[in-house]
Amino acid sequence: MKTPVAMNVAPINAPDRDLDYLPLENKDFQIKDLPIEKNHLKVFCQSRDNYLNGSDVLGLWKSNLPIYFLPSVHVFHDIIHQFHANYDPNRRAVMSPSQKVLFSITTESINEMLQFHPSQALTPISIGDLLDKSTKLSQSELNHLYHTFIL
Amino acid sequence: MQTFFIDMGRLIVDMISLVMGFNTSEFFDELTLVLLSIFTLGQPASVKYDDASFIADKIHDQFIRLENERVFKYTTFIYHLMLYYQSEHFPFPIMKLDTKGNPRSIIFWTSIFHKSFDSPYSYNEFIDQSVHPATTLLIGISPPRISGDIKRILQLSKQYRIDGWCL
Repeated sequence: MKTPVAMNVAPINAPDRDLDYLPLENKDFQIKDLPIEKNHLKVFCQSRDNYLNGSDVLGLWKSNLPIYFLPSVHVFHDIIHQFHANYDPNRRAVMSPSQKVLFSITTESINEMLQFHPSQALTPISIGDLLDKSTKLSQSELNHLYHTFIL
Repeated sequence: MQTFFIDMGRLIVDMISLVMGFNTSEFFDELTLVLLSIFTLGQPASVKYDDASFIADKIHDQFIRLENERVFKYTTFIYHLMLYYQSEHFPFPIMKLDTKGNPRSIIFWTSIFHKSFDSPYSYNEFIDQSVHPATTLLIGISPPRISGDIKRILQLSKQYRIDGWCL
């Protein structure tokens, strides 16, 4: 059957990239936060309340961990790629097209956002050090962990 | 390992996981045990870690490698940073102060991008009121409501433009 004339036209605004060279694998599924079922806002309030009423027996609030337990958010991949495209690694900041700093990604900017002003020097986290310590945990330390968190 | 923990243990492990941005379980168990070992009943944590520096460095590393590895685990931090430092560009109501006039934590400013059943905002509102203004800041112009790729797939040209708001 002959193709109707109306259909026999070149596409408008056809992609200018050669599809053979586009990666077929979509790895965007790796751009996501960890799925945690807890309601972070409630956890934050509970941790703070426990500290204020003296029932924070593990010292969780003062360990600073709850401060960084931010709520789960909708992950929108396009905007993550856009943040990445605007990231200036030298300034450690996400920039606007006019080279204005939209926000910095530094220790200070994160702590300022969370209104956390440490009153003492904090211990840097080093994966190497942690792995090294993990091999040196004594049996009594492992027993302590077992009795505190598992039993 | 996580399944064996009591509730408090699991909660702390969740917090550690979020800060560390674990991508694989390769070192998960070992590192978690060390980070848990700072807690003892009835005593303050024996070590206070510099979580913010670790997170800032991880975000930097993941952005540097994003093109090849396509791994990013700190979306929640990026969104909150954008909101905190560019709050005047977002149209939704933001509650920076509590009822006593004291500054509220950023996590209580709005729930528009929170993935929570009790958020009053829909996913559409999240896109419309937070993703769209953020993208406008990032690219310098108000972007079309559907992407260029989708328009090309649909073969939409300017003649098919319905109006600026929709497209």
